[in-house]
Amino acid sequence: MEEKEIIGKIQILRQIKPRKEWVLLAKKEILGEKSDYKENFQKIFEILFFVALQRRFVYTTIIPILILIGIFGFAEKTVPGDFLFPLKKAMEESQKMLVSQEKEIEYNLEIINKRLEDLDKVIQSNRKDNIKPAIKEVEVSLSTTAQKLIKRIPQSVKKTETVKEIALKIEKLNKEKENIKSLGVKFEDSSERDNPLVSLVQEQISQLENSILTKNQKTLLDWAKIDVNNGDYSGALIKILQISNLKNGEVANS
Amino acid sequence: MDEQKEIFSRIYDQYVEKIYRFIFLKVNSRETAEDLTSKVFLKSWEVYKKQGLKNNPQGGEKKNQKEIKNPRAFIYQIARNVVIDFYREKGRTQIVSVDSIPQMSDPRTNLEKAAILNSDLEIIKKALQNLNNDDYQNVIIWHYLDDLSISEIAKIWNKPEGTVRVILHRALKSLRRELRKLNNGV
Repeated sequence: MEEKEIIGKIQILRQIKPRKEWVLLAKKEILGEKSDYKENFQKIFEILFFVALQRRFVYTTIIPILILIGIFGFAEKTVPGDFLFPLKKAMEESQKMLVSQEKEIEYNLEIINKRLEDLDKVIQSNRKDNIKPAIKEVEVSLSTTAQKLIKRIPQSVKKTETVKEIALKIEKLNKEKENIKSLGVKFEDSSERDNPLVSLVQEQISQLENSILTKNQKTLLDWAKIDVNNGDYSGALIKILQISNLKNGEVANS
Repeated sequence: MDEQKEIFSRIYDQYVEKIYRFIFLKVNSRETAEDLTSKVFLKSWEVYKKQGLKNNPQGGEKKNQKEIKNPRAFIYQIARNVVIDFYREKGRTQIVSVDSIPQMSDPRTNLEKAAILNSDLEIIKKALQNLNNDDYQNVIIWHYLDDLSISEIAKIWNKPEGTVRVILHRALKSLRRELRKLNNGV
């Protein structure tokens, strides 16, 4: 075998190489090992110092925010009569401010739905102390919506359908009241003075009596008065809304 | 300190592959070769930190007392000593790494196994390892693989250049003999 040939074979051994990752790791360990200790300590100290400074920021801002978020989250699940329910109502009111006038009636109808759901929850969980407040909240929301509908009708609102919806919700409220009574739960209906529906109906009837009405409107007003005499303020309200409907030239639906 | 680190870092980059290969051919185990190579550079770094270099690889001079005059020779000397120490601790038995253990083969695949074993790399490696002389192995590796000159090898060994040439000639002769044995044996 020639010397050149042997040398050629020897040089094949140049294929033997270390792993690249080991090369880098070993270099880091060899060159960085001792001197890095000081740097590491310094870095750790800097981080701890930074954290200590930031802790004040955390305590004064983020934690109160987290607590507020927690409270609001908790309030969301309350029902009428609970301690934090006013907070829930306040949140709904603030959201209403962001709603356009066109969507206000729609939003109010959603609020009525929510109050009816609250009433439902109260009945299901047999929370007797919350029944009266829950019913009152439904009546308040109905009254508020009806009032808005009577005073001002946005062009986008289909009044007839809205009146129907309110009528359905009043019907549901009455059913819930019957349901409560059938379960043997005693509760006192709001007095005429406290019931928002009653005061709205009485106010509207008084206004209508002093207004010029068509024949159909007069008939509806008479029926409304009969309902009031029978204590059916919900029924009277529906008729008042229908009178208002007719004022705008829509066909009255009985 | 940063400048020293930077200079030694360049030395590391330049020689790590060669030192690793040198040690691997001696110990025939990747894991051991990695450990010992790390040891070599760690020791070199410790000494370098204390003594510094007379000439850094880029040229120029450093005015320090007890400077390392030839970093290349210096590192190879350390590598040689580390391997000797290793042999002393472990005995002269060759450590075989998992990577190099031939698989127990099915007799039906002897041809295939033979083909693998007959690969040039394995043959030359085996032949080199069969040289029962450290100096023969070292001189072949340093001169033909790592491109060290006779003069540099002489500095590592602290021997005359003439002696190194003789050793090199004899090493090559022994290697030829081993290669012939291995080629005939298959």
